[in-house]
Amino acid sequence: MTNKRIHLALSAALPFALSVTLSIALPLGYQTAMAADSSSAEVRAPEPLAKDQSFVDSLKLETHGFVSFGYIQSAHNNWLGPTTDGTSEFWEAAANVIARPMDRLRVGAQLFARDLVDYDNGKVTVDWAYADYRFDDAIGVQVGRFKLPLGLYNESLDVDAARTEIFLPPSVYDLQSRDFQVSTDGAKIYGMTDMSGGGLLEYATYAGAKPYDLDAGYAAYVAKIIGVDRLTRLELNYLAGAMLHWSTPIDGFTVRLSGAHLDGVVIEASTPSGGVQFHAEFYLGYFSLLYELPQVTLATEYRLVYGRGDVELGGIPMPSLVDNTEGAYVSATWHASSWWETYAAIEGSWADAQHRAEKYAYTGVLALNVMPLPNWSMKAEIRGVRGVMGISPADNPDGISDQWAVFALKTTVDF
Amino acid sequence: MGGFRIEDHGGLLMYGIRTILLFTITIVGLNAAVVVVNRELADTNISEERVRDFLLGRSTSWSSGDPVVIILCTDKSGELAVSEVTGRSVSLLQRAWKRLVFSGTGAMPLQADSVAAALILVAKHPGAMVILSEEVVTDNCRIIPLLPEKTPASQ
Repeated sequence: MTNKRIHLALSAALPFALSVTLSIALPLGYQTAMAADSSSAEVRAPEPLAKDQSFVDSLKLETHGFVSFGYIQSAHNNWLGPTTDGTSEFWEAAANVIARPMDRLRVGAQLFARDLVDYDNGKVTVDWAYADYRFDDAIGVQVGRFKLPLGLYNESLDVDAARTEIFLPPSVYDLQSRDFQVSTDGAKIYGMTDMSGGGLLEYATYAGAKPYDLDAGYAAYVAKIIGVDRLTRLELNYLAGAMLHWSTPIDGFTVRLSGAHLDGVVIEASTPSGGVQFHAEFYLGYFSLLYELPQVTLATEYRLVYGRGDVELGGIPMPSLVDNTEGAYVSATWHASSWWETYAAIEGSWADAQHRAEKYAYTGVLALNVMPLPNWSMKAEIRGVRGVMGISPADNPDGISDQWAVFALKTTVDF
Repeated sequence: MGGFRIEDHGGLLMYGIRTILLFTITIVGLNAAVVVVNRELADTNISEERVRDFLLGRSTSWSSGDPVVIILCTDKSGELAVSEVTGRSVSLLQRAWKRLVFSGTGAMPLQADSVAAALILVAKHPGAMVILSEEVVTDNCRIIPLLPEKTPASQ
């Protein structure tokens, strides 16, 4: 018991100490560099410009990264794994390099790892790796592995530093199956056009496919549902999607429509009753509204999943796979000052959009974000839930409660 | 001695008036955003909407098609100008850019913690721009008018 307490104390204290050290050291280094730059000239008379650049300078390299540590405790139900006793298996980290070797060309790559209780367990993955050429505002091309523009925040799913709350609404952004919907390997065409008085219209369309890790989030999630330790196969023929984002003439008010088609999803697993095979295709649709005022951000999003497929168990056809998952949320963020802000949201998710009363979850969320430094955040969040959507029976062998809650803490440092 | 005292009062009065005038001019100046660009840039003016699109990462090119290099000045002068043009604080703007950087959809603007540092960066990078809330005079940069309403010339 004593050892467990020491372990818990250390697991909480070490990340905190590391975060504080990083958050102080990194900006100091940055400020020193800027000060050295600025001290060499007066406001009215900048230094003569250097004409020659080294090769490394010409790449215009920049590196960024972040590291987060957190703590999750739930009441009445285990969520995402064993959480009722509290867990510090909740961290994420990323590091990227971006180069701009030519005016319109940007290349970059980011490594990412996370541990979300039972999911992903710290395995390092290539989050994105791309070459991006922007011909002009109207058109750009990105090839490689890129994030999917689904909803307002799928591309920035892991960017804790860019939001107030700890968890993006799970009703719209799946926590467990992050790897399945977050990115693809392929090509994306994107751009924007000025609608002369009618606002700005941004667009993106893309297609691709990527290999999935059988030990990562979505595979682990499906394995838990089926009741096996590990899938034997998870593949996707291709996915294709599009996004339209309208920045309306009302300053700060934007509307986004986005969606994707996932074709030829194949899932296989071995069970004591024989092999299980799923062949399915999914359509994802998102409708998003965002209103950014100077001190308040209002957002609401709706997502509908339409999935259809065939299931075989031991070679025998079973009832067809039908997925009509639906989710929505309304949120408000108050940016009280540059160093603290609060967030409140109401989320709803339903297992079947046509039979909402069967399985659902309604969640009320309150969050607080304190930023002692611009690159260091400390957050707390409380989630009160009614309904069992998102709760796995495998995590709760003694039964599932209809009313449950989650308390989470998280600190993030970025550079 | 008495004359000296009257003259002294007059000096104080004038000093006070001058101070109030300067303060007023400063406040007025601080409320008007100024766009400082690299001197090689062809554009002669720019609309507030276009500056906002640049700062929010929506638009990336000048009217000539040359790419924009955004400089964010994080001192008071930059803070006021960013807030005036975008309606957002610099810290909120930086977080929006972090979203782009970590999602692989953009690169971070160059940042300067003083007007002097910002001007050096603008002078160094063709296509660079910074918005400030004070008039500056430099050899390697120039100020272009910020048009409150969108006009064909600014497109």
